[in-house]
Amino acid sequence: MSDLLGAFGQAWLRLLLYPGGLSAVLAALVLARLRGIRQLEPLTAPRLLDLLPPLSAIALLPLAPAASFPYGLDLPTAVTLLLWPELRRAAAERRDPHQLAAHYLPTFLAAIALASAAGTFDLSGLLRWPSTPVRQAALLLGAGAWIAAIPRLAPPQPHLAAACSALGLMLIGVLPLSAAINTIAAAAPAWLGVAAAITIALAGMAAARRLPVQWGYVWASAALVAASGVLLDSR
Amino acid sequence: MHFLPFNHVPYRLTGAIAGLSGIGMLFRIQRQPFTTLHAFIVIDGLSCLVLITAGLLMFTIPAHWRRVGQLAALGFAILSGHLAGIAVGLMITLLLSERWRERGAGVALATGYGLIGWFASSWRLNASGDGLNSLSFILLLAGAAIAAGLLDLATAKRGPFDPLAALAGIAAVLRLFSVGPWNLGWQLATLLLGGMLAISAAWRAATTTEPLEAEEWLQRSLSGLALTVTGCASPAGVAAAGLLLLHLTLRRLAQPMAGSATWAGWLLTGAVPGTLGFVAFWSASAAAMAAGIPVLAIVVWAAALLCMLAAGRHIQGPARWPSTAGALAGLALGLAAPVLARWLLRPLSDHLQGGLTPYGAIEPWGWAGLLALDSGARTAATAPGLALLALMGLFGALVWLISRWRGWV
Repeated sequence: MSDLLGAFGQAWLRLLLYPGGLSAVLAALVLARLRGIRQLEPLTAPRLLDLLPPLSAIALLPLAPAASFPYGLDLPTAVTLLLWPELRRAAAERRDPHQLAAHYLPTFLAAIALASAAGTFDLSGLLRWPSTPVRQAALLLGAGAWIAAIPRLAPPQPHLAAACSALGLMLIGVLPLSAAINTIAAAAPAWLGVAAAITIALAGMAAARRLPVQWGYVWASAALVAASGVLLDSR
Repeated sequence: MHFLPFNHVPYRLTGAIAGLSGIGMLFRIQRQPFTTLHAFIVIDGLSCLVLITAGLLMFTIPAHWRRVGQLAALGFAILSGHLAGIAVGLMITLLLSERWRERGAGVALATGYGLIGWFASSWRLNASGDGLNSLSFILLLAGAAIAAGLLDLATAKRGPFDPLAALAGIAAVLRLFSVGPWNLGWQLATLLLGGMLAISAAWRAATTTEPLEAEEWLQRSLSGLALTVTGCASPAGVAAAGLLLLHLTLRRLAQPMAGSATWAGWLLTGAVPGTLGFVAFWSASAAAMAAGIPVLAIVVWAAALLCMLAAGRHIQGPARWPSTAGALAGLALGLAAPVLARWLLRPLSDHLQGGLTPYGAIEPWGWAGLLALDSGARTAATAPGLALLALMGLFGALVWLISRWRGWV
């Protein structure tokens, strides 16, 4: 138990400033503005409860240059935390599961590629640039498919919880991109790699929004093909 | 068919005795299984888990003498160290079920174990490995899948979910690890059949508009998930199956679809980290990832999300004490997952070790939560339940303070 308390004590910067806390809220507001939301709804008690899981997920993402946190998240846990506002909304509004499946299928296909390439669900595994070209391709295509799928998720909602959710999902896609950039430009500081990866991800999301829906599936399928190559590669 | 009604008090008492016996035996078998009467009686981690869950499930089923018979027969099967005892016990358990599907499944399970004994050099559970054969395995897998509700997916005529039958089916497949190791084809068949049942039932649960029907599909999906992770044939898979059975039992005890407070309903969906449901779903996905099957791990997670959605869609008042107590118990058990892993799940996987592969283990992660390790002892998945809840509590307090200060709330 003392380990847990010690971990929180040493991670206050991560929780309050970066990548969680203040920077997460500001970045979520910017991202919401970029997605076309001009005015966010005022915070209410239920909205505050919806905000906590995505904010916690962002705070625990292994993003440079934040100090590492010993109790990191894995992909399913992070995705569940980030989708919490959407899950609550879908349940409350009794949204059609067929519609939800159409929105989220490319994300799940991309997740298969990411997990296959990393060989683990641990999010810090997405920061390890693989040594074989097949795994590298699967990781990059998976990250691309992940980012391309984000604009096709449920329509953006005008509240902070949904904005944090979108930001967190984008940042998961940023992890492999930053790993690639940091490997290519090994001399550059790690935070520069993250900044460059975020820029690329934002550009990718903007481009994906303009492309037809089918392109998301095409990209995800390409990532899956690369992921199946990983399976053959490891035999 | 309706038989004589059974008095409620002795009925509940049999359930309590079975559950408490399971808990008591767990203390005795922490280091090694207990065998007696020339190995005709074997008490191991699986026996204890089945007795505990079966005992608790008795509180969720209308009182009837046939249920007591089912419980006694299941207890006999799971404590038996002789293949004939297992076969007879399983057959009686399922023959006492209300539908012909489950009865057929019972015959399949009994024939499967009977054939293993027939081909083996000994009928003793621990010395019958040479009798394992594909025909027996197919019968056992088919029986378990039918008991868990496979035929309900295929036919329009839907009946009530029989939790004791599903438990017997899953226990029968898990008990096979005591006989000997599986081959890859059997694992693949279990993964495919269990995965299909899990995802199809989860989809039905998410798409139906009737709350009690959704709950039944959800429980079939949980049984399917338990069957799927059993196919991983690893300590992680066995531990995940145990957690899923506990979650299923908790949902039946709490009956959230019959009415619950919103917060209690959500705690029972499995969507909140640190609750038993979340730990169960996570462990299922983590077991698949630790076994090196990312596709299955994501499919399992998709099924879990559908189950969460299905459970969330039907949260409705009024608040009832079983759902409130169940939600709190789920939270307590989820937070105590590291203790649960050491005390309940480790004996379960350790005592079936002879038939398991080293592809994945679920370990306590200090007090923070659970950790899944792959065959190379590398981290395959992490679930810091307590750490996450503590973090959310911190954030909640902070955001609340700021909101009050700014006058937002």
